[in-house]
Amino acid sequence: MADIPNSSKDNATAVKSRYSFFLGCVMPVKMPWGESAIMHTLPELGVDLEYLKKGTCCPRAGVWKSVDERVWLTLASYNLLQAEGDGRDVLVSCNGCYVTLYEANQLLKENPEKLKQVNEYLAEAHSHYNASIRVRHLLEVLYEEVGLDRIRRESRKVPIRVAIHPGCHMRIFDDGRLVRYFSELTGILVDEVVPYEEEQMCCGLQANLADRHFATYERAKKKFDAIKALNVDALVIVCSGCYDQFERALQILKKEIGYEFGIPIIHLAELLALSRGIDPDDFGMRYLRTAPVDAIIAKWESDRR
Amino acid sequence: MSDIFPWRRPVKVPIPTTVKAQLIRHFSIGLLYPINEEIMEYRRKSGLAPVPPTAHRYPEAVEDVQTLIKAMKVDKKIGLDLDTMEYQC
Repeated sequence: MADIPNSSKDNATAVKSRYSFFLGCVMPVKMPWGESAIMHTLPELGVDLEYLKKGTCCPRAGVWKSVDERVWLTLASYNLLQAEGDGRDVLVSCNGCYVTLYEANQLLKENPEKLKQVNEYLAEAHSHYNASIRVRHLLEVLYEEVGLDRIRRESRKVPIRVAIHPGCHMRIFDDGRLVRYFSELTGILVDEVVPYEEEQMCCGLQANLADRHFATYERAKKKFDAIKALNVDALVIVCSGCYDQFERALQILKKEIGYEFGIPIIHLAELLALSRGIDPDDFGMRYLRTAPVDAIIAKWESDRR
Repeated sequence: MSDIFPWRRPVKVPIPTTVKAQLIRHFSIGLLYPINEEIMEYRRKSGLAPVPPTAHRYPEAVEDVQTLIKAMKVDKKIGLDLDTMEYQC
């Protein structure tokens, strides 16, 4: 069994990494609160973070691996080389983008022939990728580099009960460490993380490409129903792909059967921001929501008084 | 593989409608979702630059994506004319 990193005090001795934040397609247009919360909190926690510039669609490995592997590797490399040119590793919040970029990067590091082929195509756009950088998930950076100790020490729990949705691609590693990081990080930021039977169930995003009805009713709605029964204050996610699917499913469900979820879907970084005392209006928490976050903010304000 | 299955020929599977629309957006703007005035206003209210530093801000990234797609001849493979952004089949 591979070593599972612990979030420990020895993080202070680790070499400090510099990151380019890959936004992907969804976060900048549908989740500005998540993007802003990340940009507010990570630098405060000592993470050297800048935007990855010129980012394009990751692209969707689920589509391109089966259609044409060259497209997956070349377009992923185009994104990665933007960070490599700045001498930075890549930080990703979306699980789907992470799997696409992480797996492409690993494959190109291990297979010089594929890297050579990718660079032949990239040369057409006057670009080159050396596969010299790392791709890291937001959860890895928070858990392994910042550490639970520091986050706990510098934050105050938000007095709410939440459910979490990890998402399928968070289980990329056999040891399941990203799911553990997500669960533990959320656990130190709120009063209670309420488990439920459908926690590991898919959001329905991939199925949506083939069968929208199935993705909406047999995946997203089943999750929503289970979460509604928990009487929680929020559903916490980190994956933009899952958020995109949930938002779309909620629009369809409202239109077709008048369904209301009513529980706001929030990003882990928003909890991090609130727990550090950052005003919700500083990162746009109230806007572009699937459900109002006023009750969460009221509980946070009441606790801060 | 052709030694083992000499009669096997590539099968052209039609691209699902949902994917077709996504590919047009991907190759037109570099990303799956466009940005508009309303989103820019929400970004401002969130303390962010109205236009994110993605291909939305750097149109040369879109040109690069199209160049790469043409270099791999993927546009021909999926039957998409990148100049008109219309499918030929």
